[in-house]
Amino acid sequence: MSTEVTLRREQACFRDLNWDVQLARAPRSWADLRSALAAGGWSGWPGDSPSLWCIERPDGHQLVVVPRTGRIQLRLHYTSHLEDRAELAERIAQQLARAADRA
Amino acid sequence: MPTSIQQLRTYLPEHDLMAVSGTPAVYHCHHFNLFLDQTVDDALGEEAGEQQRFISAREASRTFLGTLCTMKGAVTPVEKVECAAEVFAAMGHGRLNIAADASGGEATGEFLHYGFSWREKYGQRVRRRRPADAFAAGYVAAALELAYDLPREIMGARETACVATRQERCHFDLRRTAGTSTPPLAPVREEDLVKHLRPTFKGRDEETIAGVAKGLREFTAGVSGDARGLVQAFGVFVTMHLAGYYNRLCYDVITKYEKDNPRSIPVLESLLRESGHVCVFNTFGGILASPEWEGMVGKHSGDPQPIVAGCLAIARALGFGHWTLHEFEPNKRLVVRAPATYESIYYLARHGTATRGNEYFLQGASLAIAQLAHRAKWTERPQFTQEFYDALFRGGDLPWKVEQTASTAMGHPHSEVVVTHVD
Repeated sequence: MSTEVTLRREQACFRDLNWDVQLARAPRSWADLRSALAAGGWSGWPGDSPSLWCIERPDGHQLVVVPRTGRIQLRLHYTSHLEDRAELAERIAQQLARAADRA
Repeated sequence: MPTSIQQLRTYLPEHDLMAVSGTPAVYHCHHFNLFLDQTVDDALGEEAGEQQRFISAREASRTFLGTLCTMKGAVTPVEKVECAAEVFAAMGHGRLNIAADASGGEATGEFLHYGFSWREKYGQRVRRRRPADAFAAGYVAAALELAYDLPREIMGARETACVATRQERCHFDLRRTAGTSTPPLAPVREEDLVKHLRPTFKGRDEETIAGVAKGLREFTAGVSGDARGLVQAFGVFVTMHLAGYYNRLCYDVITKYEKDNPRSIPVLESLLRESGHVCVFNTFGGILASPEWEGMVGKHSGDPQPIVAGCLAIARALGFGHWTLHEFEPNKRLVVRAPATYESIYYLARHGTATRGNEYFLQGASLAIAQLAHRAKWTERPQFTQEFYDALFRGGDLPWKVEQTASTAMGHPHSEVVVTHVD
């Protein structure tokens, strides 16, 4: 069964760049999820730690994850076109959900 | 090579007052920056307001850039101008391209903090008639004065195009003027403030507040302008900014009103206090609601005391001063004390002893802290929208009131504000 994911636009002063991502089911192993994301090209940036993941893709989109509480925030790069942001967020959230399924 | 702001940033030990290359500095978001600039324009009129903002920026920037260029080893005029532009971007103010010399010239700006964030916040609903980047104009003027060893206050700058007025980019004309007959005011640097400092002290929950402030300072040490020269964090655009700019703006306007329009001072003071509401709601709220906070401190319990303590930690990390929790009785009373704030210490150094409590940001921010702690549903992860701000702060009489009962600017041993619930 695939993990459902719910996206919610977060209030910020940057239009449609920040999204709250909720996985219907927590991954069985956060460590495995991290490994799966790394295999998918996500790597840490300054501030990254076991209690607060700060990871990004080569195209600049970022995830901030608090494993202890399950909170996930997706931060799209500011160069993404406004009209594409909702769809882009959906695609990345689905990628995350698939990685969570494998974890 | 990009400048690391971390290398330039210092905090006065136990006072939580920040400086960048020896010049008093604080972090503020675009909401506060735009609100304060607008308050000045509303108080003085658009043209006089713009001029006030320009001269405040030029003065604060000249003080800052003098020390900065020395620290960075910039010697030639070209090196100094490049250094100034580089640090401007690292501090989150945007990108400047300066093509000028001792007689003047021009500069262009991309993603300048004030103009760009004004357009992002208001541009879809409001048509702006005048440019927004007086701070950048003053900064560029100061950079040229310093680079070419010119007398202070001799370089004029005028923004002739601005993204906030729906033009493609920002443009400045720079021209050397005859200067003014009034000697420039003595600069206010960190060393000028230190001699006015009182002994520091601890408050309630000190260990928690100090620990969180330390964590936030460590986090912000890595924050610097992105490729645009902007800092996008906690849902807002953040600047590392010159405290002298804010303070000169605020107290020059108050001084003008004391001379020309004393009956309107209460209204002006209430607007300056409101700048504290705007900052706490947007920046403190954004930090408290962030995943970074959740990772560092954990989920919110719904109890107001941790919110109050968190806010005081944020104030310290942003360089506002050693704000302490003196008293807190939920739903009744909050007392915040500080041995000095970035406002009081400037006022003492520049103006001498104050005759009334005039730390307007401290007053407004403390009231806003009480509001946020009691009226935001923290367990439901509130969204800090304009609608929510209006509901908290503009829906009629506020349920809280604030009074400044002591001020180090008045010669008291500490500054103190008392926030009480209106029954």
